[in-house]
Amino acid sequence: MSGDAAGRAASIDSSTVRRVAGLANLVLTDEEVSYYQRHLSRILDYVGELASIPRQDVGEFDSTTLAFALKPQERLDQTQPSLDPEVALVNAAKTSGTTFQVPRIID
Amino acid sequence: MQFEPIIGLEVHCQLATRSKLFCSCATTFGVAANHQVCPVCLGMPGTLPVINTLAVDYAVRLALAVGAKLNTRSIFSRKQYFYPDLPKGYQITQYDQPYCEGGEITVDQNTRVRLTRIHLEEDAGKNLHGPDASYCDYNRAGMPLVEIVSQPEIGSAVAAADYLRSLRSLVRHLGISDGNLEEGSFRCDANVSLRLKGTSKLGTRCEIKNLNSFRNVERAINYEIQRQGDILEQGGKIVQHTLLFDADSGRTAPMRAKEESHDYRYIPDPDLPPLCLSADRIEKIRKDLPELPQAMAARFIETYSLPDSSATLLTSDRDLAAYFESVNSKVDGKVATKIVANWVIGEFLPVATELNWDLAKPNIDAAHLAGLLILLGDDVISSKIAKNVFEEMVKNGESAPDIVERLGLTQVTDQSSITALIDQVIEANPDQLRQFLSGKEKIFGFFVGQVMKLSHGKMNPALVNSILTEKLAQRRE
Amino acid sequence: MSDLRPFSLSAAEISQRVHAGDISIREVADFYVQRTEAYASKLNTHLYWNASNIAAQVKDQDSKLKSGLKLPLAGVPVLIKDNICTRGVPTTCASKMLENFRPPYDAHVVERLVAAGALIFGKTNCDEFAMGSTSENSAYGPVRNPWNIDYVPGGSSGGSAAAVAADLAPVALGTDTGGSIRQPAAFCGIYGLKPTYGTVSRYGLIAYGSSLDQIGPFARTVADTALLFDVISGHDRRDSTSRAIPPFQTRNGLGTADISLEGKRIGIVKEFFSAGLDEPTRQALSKAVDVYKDLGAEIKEVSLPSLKYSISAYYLIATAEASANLARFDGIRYGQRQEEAGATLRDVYQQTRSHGFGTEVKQRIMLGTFVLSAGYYDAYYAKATAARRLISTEFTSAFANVDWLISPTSPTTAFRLGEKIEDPLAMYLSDICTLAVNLAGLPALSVPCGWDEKGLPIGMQLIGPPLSEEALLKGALAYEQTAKHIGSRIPQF
Repeated sequence: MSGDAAGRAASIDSSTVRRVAGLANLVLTDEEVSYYQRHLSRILDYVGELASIPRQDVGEFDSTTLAFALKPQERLDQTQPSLDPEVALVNAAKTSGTTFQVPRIID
Repeated sequence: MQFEPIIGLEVHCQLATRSKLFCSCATTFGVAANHQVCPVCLGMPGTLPVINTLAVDYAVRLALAVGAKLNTRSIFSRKQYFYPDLPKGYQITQYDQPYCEGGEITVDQNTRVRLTRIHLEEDAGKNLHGPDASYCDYNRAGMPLVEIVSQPEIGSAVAAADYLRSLRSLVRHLGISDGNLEEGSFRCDANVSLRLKGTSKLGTRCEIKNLNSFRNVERAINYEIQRQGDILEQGGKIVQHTLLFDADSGRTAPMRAKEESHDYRYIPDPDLPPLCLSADRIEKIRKDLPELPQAMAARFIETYSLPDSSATLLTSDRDLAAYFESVNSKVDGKVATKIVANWVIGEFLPVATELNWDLAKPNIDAAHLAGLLILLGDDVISSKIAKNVFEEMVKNGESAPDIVERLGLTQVTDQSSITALIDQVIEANPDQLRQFLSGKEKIFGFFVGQVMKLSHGKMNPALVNSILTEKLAQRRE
Repeated sequence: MSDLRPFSLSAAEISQRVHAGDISIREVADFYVQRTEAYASKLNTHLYWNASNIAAQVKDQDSKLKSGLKLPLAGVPVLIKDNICTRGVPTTCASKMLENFRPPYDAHVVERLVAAGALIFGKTNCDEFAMGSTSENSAYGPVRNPWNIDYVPGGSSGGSAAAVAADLAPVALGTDTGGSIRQPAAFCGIYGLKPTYGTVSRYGLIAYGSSLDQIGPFARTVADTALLFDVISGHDRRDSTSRAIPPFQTRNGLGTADISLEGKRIGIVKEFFSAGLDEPTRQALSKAVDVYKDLGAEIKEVSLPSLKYSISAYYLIATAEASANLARFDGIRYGQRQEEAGATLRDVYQQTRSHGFGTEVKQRIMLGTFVLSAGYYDAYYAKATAARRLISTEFTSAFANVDWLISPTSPTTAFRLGEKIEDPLAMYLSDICTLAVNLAGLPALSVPCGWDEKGLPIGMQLIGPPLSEEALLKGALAYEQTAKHIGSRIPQF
């Protein structure tokens, strides 16, 4: 815990930081865990102000609702040429034939 | 203790569009690895999804056919997890606001299975496994799917398979999917739990993934019912698992890789505005809805006076039904509909199934089969010859008149030729004649057989019968 | 030999003189290649540029010109922020993750620029994945402000802003998720426009917060801002959030602009003039408001109380979206990959992502992951979207009474390099004036309006209702022609 947050419970503890990092497939050193715990706690404390918003008054909001309505757009069922497989694979670190190679997956 | 199984099914059905759900790549099956991919379905940075309008129409068609509630505004969400077959690290699917809720599938006159929901989503790619590495092919990534979720109310493995057959027949009738299990365009996951008979509380369920044939659905569910029953009998507890069915051993086993914490962190996809379905669009799709299997079977019984079993079988597949109707209209009343049905069911279907014909474009087209049946109806050939002609058709696809002509199979109806041959046969078989005259009437069949054999089956059987009866009677005198 | 001198020509003039045969595209290119060679490394504005690639483009555009095509950006060098895809040309997002990534496609805006006759002159440095307000969070070192190289140019589009301010190109593209065009424009003393959400296609923009991101222009004059915006705007079928509208023609509108603002109502946003505002910025804004008054506009004070939620709402929504947007970087299909012998799939994921992403990017991914994780969605993300709706509604009400709103672009002028990087919350707070605009999807323009005592530029922000870009540009032009700041000082670097 950083000094300025002493006396207050952290919004996020170190095991949560590790769990969240795991969900995002990040590995953190111990120093990084404490760095992010400190920072994320500060941010989460700050955004706690939103708790006072009466959600039922404004209703559910989906992320595409903006000051104006976006008209949904659809495309016709028409095909276009796919990428040349060499081009599709050119940026990959490891390939085999025309596939992308990864360490063996255990099902 | 008495347990009863409770089964719920989730079916992933690939929509038969030409292009993928969110990009313009083709949906052809069996293309070489990563030959049907583009920046969008590879999840390359900066690319964006744009929905295929026909996929939406097909999904709506299904919703209307099962009598479900259509949500005129639904949301695409991102379901997040890391797996190499998932190019963006999330799947675009529908979560808390799907386009369709409720509805039911009619299995037969007495059986209906209620649906929880249907939603639209994109398929993932495919991982191939070698001894030292795995390989990713994204041809399938972004294929358009509807996921059809049944209520957990199916009571047996057989009933589950029946439900799946009905659902498959339905999507094929609707023309929205080829329902091909082998190619993975109709895939099933089964949720199985047991509960004490007479109680209503559901037990812990296990999900069996990716069952690729109706037979395996039955086997896997039966195995799972047995497995869970054994555990419960011994006072054990069922652990919630995702299972894979191994068709070779006939057993289910827990999956390891995807087992860890399912925290999918759904978020509405900001790249896709809500899917809004206008009343006009829904009405237009409703108006164009094809005849559904049950309605079609009822019509066959009513119009063609077919027995229930024939009507049900013929309408179990839209293309088969269409084929039957096409043959029937082409025989133009010269052959009884019942005979047409018997031929389609008894001769055509077994061959088509065995040779894996596409029923929409079978190797024997409707006109050819109709031509054969007309020859039969006009007594040009006997039904025995007709079967031979049919076999010839299977082999080389010639028309019936051509085959009959080529092989000289035209039925002989000329009385004098028949009489001459019959006389010849009677003369040649004095022993048999004696037996017949001494009262062994069964010998009659022997004479018919000889006549047919010598004439290569071309003699009209009815005429052979009557003339032979007459001739033998004369001998008796 | 041409008479090209630094800071002497606008994009509009280059195109006009190229069409007139007065100068050649090659002369323009040579001039800017020399400037790039001389100053790009000093300011660290460029992540990629290549003289032979530019020479090839000169040939292409020349032959188009000779075929008689009318090209609105004939021979105009344009710099592209490095989170915008350029076909076959490295696009890194200033991240190690995409060190060697060459997209097999151009962003929609790049296609439009090339079609309009522009020369794609290079890719500019920025905060990694556009996450930052200083352009210090780059895996390739910080960008420097041409007005004082010990100061940051702002961010995240700092490379584009600094390069245009230093005339390494007349115009550039940036991207704006929470102020990433407007704030660096203000810090570098140039114009920067964040268009209405949906007016510029995001196809080819590597997403940070998809519901907030927009691409927009940087320029040293209002006319050039308008010119570049017109070229990149308009419908694109590859972006489902692109509005079905034709390209804008704001430039035509400006040509006939009557700079009188009689009858215009301008709202001063009370919440943006409260505590935390630097004195020089307050004074510059106050003078600018006086200019508008003199031009005949009616000035009204406007209050949008929900603006206080904008920082919280922004950081929750942007990071939630970012956590999903950045999940695709796994080292399998593109980008760098960390794989030691015997590594499992999970090792590859973890090592690749831990090594590839910088500190701030990881922080935002984790924040977004946390707020979407089981049990927290309603407390954070859902509340943030509710706040977003409140803010959006308040803007709509405000625009019933005023034509546009005025605020500072940033409460302060540029920070010293390293000054704020250790305190993320302080950094986030400095975005107070710009974030709400993205939450509401509105257009906003940063207009240079003076210098502080250190000689660092000050920017004012004009915010309009959806699709009011032309009105905002006219408002800015009226100020530009009256205040006559442009060209009155030139950065020394």
